[in-house]
Amino acid sequence: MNLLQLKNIEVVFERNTNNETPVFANFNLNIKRGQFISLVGSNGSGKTTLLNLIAGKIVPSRGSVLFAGKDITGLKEHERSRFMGRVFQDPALGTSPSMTILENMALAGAKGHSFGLQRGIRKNKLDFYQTRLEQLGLGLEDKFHAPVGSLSSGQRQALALLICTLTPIELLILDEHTAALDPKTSETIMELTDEIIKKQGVTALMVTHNLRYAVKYGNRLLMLDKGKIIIDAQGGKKNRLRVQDLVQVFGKLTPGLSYPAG
Amino acid sequence: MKIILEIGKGILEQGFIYGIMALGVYISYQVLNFPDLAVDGTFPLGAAITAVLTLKQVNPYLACLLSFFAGALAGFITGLLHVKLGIKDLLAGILTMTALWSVNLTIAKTSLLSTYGSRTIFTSGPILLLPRVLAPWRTLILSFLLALFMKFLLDWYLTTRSGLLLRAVGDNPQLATSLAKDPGQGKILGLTISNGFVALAGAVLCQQQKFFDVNMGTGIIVMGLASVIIGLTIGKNLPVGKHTTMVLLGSILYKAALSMAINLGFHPNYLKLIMAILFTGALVGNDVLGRKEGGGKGYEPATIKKY
Repeated sequence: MNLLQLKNIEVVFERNTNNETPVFANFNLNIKRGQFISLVGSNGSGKTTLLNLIAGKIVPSRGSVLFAGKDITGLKEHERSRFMGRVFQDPALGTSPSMTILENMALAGAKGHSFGLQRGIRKNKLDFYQTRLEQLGLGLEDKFHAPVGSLSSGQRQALALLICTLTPIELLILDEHTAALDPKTSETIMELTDEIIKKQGVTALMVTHNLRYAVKYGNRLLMLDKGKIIIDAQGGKKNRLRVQDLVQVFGKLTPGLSYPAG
Repeated sequence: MKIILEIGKGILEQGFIYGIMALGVYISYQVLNFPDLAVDGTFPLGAAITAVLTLKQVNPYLACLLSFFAGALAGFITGLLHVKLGIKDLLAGILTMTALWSVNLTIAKTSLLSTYGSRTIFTSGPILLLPRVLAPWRTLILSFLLALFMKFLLDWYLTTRSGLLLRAVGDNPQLATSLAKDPGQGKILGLTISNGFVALAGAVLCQQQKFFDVNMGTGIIVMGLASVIIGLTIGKNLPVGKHTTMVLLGSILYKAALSMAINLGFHPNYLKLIMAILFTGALVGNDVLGRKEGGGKGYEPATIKKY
């Protein structure tokens, strides 16, 4: 059962100018329900464009995006947010810094409902928020009234992940979401991500430059180069894949440059 | 002694009336992160509508309400210009402000319209229920109550779901998008409310001073911003719920500083210059205080937004 289909996608940046840059030409990708895909590729290979296409930030000049069989090519980013969530590289993008943890949670909990004049923070929801924050294991449950801007990047990213998955979504987009964090925090967030994905059974697409994460997590690995998929490993093939194999492929793509194995 | 009392009373009256305007500027500037210059036009818009309506014997409270809606409509248009037509925030405000000049003149049919003799909220209605002894304090009491009412209304709104979303839109539009809400709509809504407040302040001022002047909006944005910045600088470490109180206090302090300068013997021609200097002082003061507390690097609860 395909959850997401990209069909004959064409994306060209700055068309009809001297800087015309074709990113995708006749690009196709099917993502099945329950897949946790790690997506790697060098800079400029089209990873971010792919995520933006799926999230609705950019519209393809040709081709269509199908979600659960329905054509969502014309659907705006905020409309797609009803069934997909995205965690960004920048932890600041996933939360509202001047608002408290509780207020951020209340907003996240209201997703999918009307944002009218009803009370923003409902007392009967406090226990639920408390439990979900406790599950992060970062002590955020004791800081209900702390402004999110006063938290560390790691704590904010964990909160962003929680906010993103607080209400049920069908597709989770992870946009290098551990890249801005120190190695230890990065590890914590990655484990947390894996746990949430498994627990909720949500389909996920993760862009990462950390080849170790790409190999360790998920059940499918894609490598993009110049707008084309050059590795698509699933099941046993994915399990046999090692970091060195990927490094080798990267080495061939960009001769003379060594790629950090992470 | 009596003179000082009179001056103090005047400062408070003006402080509260302009404070309602400052609450509006707080919504656009601080909550929404949108420098809305259109308030220079919506403030006299409220006054023009009130002047014309009260002269036609319309209930002065109803005139205030209608002024609020007219201002809200103007804010809505600024929002549309910015969100739907993609015009830069500053420019969208300037466009509305410019257009409102003609609108205000069309409504009032003259650049200076006296409403002397018509009923106002200060001379009719519930305020007359106050004991006779308090008669000289009517304007102060009513403007205080109005400012307080608008403050609590805004406080309440900002804790509703819609209000929380508005704050998120100003803070991080991407979050609103992630919550499946169009941040553009949030901006339009915020500007609508903000300009409603500003026009209401214009309406109240018109009833207090008993005339409309097409120029009465000049420098309103500076006054509003100064009030917001003075207030939030003082109340730096207070939670968001206290911001509106500090904005009202900022408005009073600003009016007090201005009044002090005039009473020191400066010619009224210097008024706008003094306003600009006070505003600069508030901005720099905010910066210096921020640095002292190690601000600029970390997060501060009441960080003043700058452009």
